[in-house]
Amino acid sequence: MAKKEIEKKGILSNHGIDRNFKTLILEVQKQVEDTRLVLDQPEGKLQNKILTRDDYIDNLKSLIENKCFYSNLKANLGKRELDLIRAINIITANLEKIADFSVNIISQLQYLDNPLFLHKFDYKSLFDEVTSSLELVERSLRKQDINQAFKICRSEQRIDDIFAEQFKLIMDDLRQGNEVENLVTSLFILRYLERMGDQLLNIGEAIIFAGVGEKLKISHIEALEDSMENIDIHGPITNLSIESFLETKSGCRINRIQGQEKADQETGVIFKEGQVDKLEQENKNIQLLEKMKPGLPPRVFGFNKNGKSASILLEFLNGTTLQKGLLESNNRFLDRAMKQLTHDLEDLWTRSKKNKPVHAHYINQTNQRIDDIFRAHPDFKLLEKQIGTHRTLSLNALLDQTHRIEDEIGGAPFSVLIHGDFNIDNVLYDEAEGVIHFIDLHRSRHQDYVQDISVFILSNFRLPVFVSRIRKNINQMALNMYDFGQQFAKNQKDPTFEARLALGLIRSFTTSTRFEFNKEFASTMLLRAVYLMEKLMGYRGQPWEQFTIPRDVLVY
Amino acid sequence: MDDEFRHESIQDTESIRNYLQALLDGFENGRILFGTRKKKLILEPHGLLNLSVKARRKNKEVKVSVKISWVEDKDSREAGQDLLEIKPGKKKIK
Repeated sequence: MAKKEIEKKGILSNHGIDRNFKTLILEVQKQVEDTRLVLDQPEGKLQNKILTRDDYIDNLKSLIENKCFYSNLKANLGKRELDLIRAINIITANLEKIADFSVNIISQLQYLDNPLFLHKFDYKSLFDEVTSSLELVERSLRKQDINQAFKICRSEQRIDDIFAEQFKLIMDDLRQGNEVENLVTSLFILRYLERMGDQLLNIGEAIIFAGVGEKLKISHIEALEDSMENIDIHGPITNLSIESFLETKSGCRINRIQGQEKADQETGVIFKEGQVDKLEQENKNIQLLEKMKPGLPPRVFGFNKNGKSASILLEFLNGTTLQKGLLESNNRFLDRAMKQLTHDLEDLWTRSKKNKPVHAHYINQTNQRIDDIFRAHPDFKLLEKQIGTHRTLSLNALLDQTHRIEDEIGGAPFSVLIHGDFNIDNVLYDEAEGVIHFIDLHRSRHQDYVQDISVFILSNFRLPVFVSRIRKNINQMALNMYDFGQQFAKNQKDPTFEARLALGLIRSFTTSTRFEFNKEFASTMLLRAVYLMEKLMGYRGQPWEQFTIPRDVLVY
Repeated sequence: MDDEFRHESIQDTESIRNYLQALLDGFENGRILFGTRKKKLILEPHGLLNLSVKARRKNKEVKVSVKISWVEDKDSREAGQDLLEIKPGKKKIK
């Protein structure tokens, strides 16, 4: 059933559930707000009001529960409507809990010598978070707005953070040994507010459940930055920090998944927020890839637009990135993964092949990023030099010359559906199932497959890991991809594969330097690009079909 | 006064000829120009040249250095000596 129909048909309004539900939310909101007022100004009659309202809220909860469970409501409903009812039930229970905590807070007040003692701590920010999330509940469920639901979910994290700060302050004070009773009571009060956050997370998840029809566990919330360029980059890493690199990079994913027992029906999800056009593109790309090669991309559970920003809810895929496999030196994994990957690429590329020639414009792509490269490495402009009769060119002049060569070589004779950002950390291998998945597909399109190959090779090369055991595998992976590409070109009768790969590598070597601040390593990459450009220039006049790349240039 | 010129690149056994040949030609002509647009260093090798050749293999890293040095006529240059050192990039042995 389509989202809006739920509203129109008013399955719920027939039985008055929606009215009860709205009332419940309003009452809980009032309860929380009044509790805050009592804490602000402990004198007054509000306390009694809160206790009375608690009974009313309990009644409302039972009423909604009864209607959800025992009415004949469920007789003729489809799954989506049943999901909605289930969600309402969950939300109701959690809202009632929040109201209970309000009462608990009030009853703690009597243990404070001075009710104003609590003002030492930032309970106000906690209330702010709770009340602003409560405001979103009714509307986000009614509109099935996953964006809003996620806002509710995320408030739990913020509430936890604020609580943690206050907790620390209280502990510091406790160590001084004064006002112990007051401090412990304050801690209880703040703890109830923190628990309200947990209920809000349950509420947010229930709304998402109603929206997508599956019980999802939020594994990873990712905010896309405005510049999509930064996505594949995780900051400079050095040889010494592999351990922390492993932890920080994939830690957030793993922690959330492994930290909790997984229920049977739960699917992990990743939530991405970002600009509408980019996420819309990713959504389209995923649909297209799914058609060509089912299971390769993640499933899309929801897509929401909200003005200029949008959010997408993606399946959290099981598996390990190739990059992680490399860093962990998991040789068995790497062998199997590469076999499956090249098999899948062959399949995807053959199926998606369109015979119209296509031009990737590698040197233009390089020129578009040249300012960033020079900003990171001003000396990479390379002055023109002369050694005796031998002259070398500046980087700009080299690129100019190579641009001309690119025109001579021409584009690819056909296009395939490429990944578009084919880094080794955008490829997952699920060893148990033996399947490959692609992630981060916002740049996928029909293009020259050589672009994916060169990006893949460079994402190996540029890993700043120089431990020889790991480096050996990195080099092997780059060479495997090269060999596969060569074979694919041969099968598809693509005569200029090597020459175009040289161009793709020039692009990737050059542009990768802007993220590498280890001067020596960045230089190595630039000099390889220069080497390839000089190689192409020296080859001019001969048939491009016979140009070959020295394998050594692909490995470090 | 120190005049210095540096250039680094990656070559293969074929393309390295361009550099070596240019240097050889320079020695033959008694004049080698090392320059950028901003700065030129002209060396005029003549007379006796000290030549030292070093080769080394350590683990898998191989290095060959050829050092050619001489002292210039005190008249034609202010003072000091210029040193020209040619060090090919590290080349791996498979």
